[in-house]
Amino acid sequence: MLTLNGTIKSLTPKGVGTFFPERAAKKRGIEESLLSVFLKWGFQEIVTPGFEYLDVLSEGIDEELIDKSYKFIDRGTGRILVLRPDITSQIARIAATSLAEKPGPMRFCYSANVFRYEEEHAGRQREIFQIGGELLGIDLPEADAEMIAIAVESLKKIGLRDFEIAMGHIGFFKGMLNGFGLDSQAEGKVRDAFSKKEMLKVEGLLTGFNKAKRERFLKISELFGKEEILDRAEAICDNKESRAAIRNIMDVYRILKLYGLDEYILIDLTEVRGFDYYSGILFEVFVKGIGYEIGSGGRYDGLLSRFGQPSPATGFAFNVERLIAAMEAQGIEPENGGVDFLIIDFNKDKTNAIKLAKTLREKGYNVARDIIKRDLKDSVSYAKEWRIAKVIVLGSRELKRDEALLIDTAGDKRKRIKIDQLFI
Amino acid sequence: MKKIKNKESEKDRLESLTIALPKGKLLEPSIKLFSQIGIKVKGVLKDTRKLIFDVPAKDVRFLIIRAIDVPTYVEYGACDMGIVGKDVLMEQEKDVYEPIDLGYGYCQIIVAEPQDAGLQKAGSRIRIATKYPNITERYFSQKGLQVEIIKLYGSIELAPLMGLSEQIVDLISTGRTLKENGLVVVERVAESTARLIVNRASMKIKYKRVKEIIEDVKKVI
Repeated sequence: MLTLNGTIKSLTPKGVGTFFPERAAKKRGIEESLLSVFLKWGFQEIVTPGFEYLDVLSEGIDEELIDKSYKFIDRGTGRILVLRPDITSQIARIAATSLAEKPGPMRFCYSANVFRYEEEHAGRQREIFQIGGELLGIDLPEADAEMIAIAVESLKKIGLRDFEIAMGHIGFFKGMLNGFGLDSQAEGKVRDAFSKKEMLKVEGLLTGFNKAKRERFLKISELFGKEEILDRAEAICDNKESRAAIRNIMDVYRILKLYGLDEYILIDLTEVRGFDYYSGILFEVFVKGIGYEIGSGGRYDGLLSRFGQPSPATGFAFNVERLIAAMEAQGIEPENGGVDFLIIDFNKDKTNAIKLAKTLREKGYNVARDIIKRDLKDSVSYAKEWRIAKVIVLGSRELKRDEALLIDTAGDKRKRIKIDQLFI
Repeated sequence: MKKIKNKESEKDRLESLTIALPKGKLLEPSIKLFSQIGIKVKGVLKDTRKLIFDVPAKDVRFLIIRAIDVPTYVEYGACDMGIVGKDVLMEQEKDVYEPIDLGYGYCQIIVAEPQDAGLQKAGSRIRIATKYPNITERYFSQKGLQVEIIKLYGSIELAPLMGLSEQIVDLISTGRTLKENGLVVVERVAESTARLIVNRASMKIKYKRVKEIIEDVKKVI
C-alpha cells in the first residue's frame, strides 16, 4: 500500500479509473466499430480541445452542467478554463465560428472523454468516454431519422440485441405546459415532478387551473408505446407547438419505417430530461440487462445561434463504458485484442525468433517476445497471467535443431512441430 | 464482433419482472396490494429468513430487502420495480420513476425537541440528530440556518435526552414514541407514503408489463 507522509490515501480520485488491457481492448473495439459506422454514413472525425474558456463555452451549456464542470485558471491569461463537459456544444461552437463559411450540411463524429462532477450513482463516472456524431445544417425529419438509423446500426454492429430507442419530442411537452402560463420556476417544478413520473405531485402543482386542460396534461404520462399512441397524443393536443411536434414525430417515424427500423422504436412522449439546448426530437437508447440509458441524443436547433451563427442540428452520443457493460451483460466478447503468441528463443543467436515474429505479425497475429532470461516454466505462467493464447519455444535443449515447441496456454497442451511449418 | 438478430417474437413473450419489497411496516400492505392485482405470493410473512419468493405463474420474482436498499436495487436495474417510503426517496434522491403514490404507510418527517427546551438555542449553533442527513441539510439550508447534523442509525429520540443534540429530525406515524420521551414537534418537514418505483430502462424495455402493473395497481388503490 502506498502511503503519503505516513497516511493511507487513495491513489486515484473518485469517478475515474484505469482501463486495464482486457477492458481497454473492449473499449478500443467499440470505438473502432462505431467510428467505422459513422464513416460509412459520410461523417468525418473531429477532435475538439480538452479544455476551453469557460466564458466562451458556457454560452452553449446549461447552468447545471457548468456547475458540474471542473474549472481552473489559465496560467497565461488569468481567465477561467473548463475541462470539456460536453462535446456537442464544442462542435456547435466550432461549426458556428471557424466553419461558419463552409457549405452545409456538415457531418462530424468523435470519440472523446468529457468530465463531469457527478454524485456517485448507477453507471456514472466523472470521466465519461463518449462516441457520437452531429449532423449540422439540416432541419428536416430525414436528418433525425438518419441519426437514429446510425444509432441502431452501431448497436447491431457490436452485436447488442434487445434494445429500444425511446423517441420523443420536447416540443410536445413544452406546448402543453405553456398553456398554463406558469413562471419559469413553477415550470421547472412541474418538469422535475413530471420527469420522475410523480403525477400526483404534478396534479398538485397544477390545481386551480382549468380542469379539462389539467386532465389533458396529466394524460401525457400515459403516452409511451408503439405508433398507436400518436393518435392518442393528437387527441389531447390543445396547441400549435404540440401538434407540430406530433407531426414531426410521425414524419421521422415514417422514414424509420423506410429504413426498416420501426421495430426498435418506442414512442415516448413522457420523457422530458436532457439538456436545455434540445429543441425537437429526443431519443434515449435502452438495452436489456442495463438499468439506465446507454446513449442519448436529439435535435438542438437553437444551440449554434448562441455562438453567433444560427443553424439547425441534430446528434447523439453513446457512453462507451455503458456499452461495455451492455456487451458484458449479454455475453458478447469482442474479437480483437489480446496477444496471440509469445516467442521464447533459448538460442544465443535470435535470428529465428526475429524472423518468426515478423512473419506471424505480417499474417495479422499479435506477437510478443519473451526476451527476459528465465525458466520455461516461468515464461509459461507469465503467458497465462497475461492471457497470451500460445507460446512458441525455440532452441531449448530437448528440441531438435529444426523443431519448435508449441504450447497452448489454456489447456497446457504441448506439441513439437517443425519450425518450417510455423512460417506457412 | 458477433451479430445476433433482434427477434420480434423474443420481445413479445411474457417478460419476467423482479420486484423489491421492503422489510418492515410496508411489507404486509405491499403483499396485499400485489395479491389484489392477481400476483399472489405465499409465505413471505411467515418465513422471515427467506429473501427471494417466486410467483412462476406470473413470471414475477419478489426480493425482500431493507427499505433503504430498495431505491438502489431499482436504480441499477437489479430490480425492475419496488415499493418504498417517500422518506427514503427524499433522502437518497435516486434516479428512478415514482409513478404511483400508494397511499399507505403514512408518516411525517418532523423536527422535534424536548418539551422543556425553552429559549436556550437563540444564536447558538444547533445540533440535530437524524437518520436523514440529506433531508435535514436541505431543509435547514433552505431556511438559511447552519446546523450541525449528527447521523444516527436508530432510536433518534434518545439523542436530546442524553445531551447529544438539541433537536431531532425523524419519521413519526402516531407520535407516541416522541411523547413517551418528552419530545414535542416544532416543525413539519414533509409527509411520506409508500411509493411504487420503477427502473428507467425497465419502463422502456419491459413497457408492456410495467404499464399493465401500473394500470392494475391504479385500479385497486
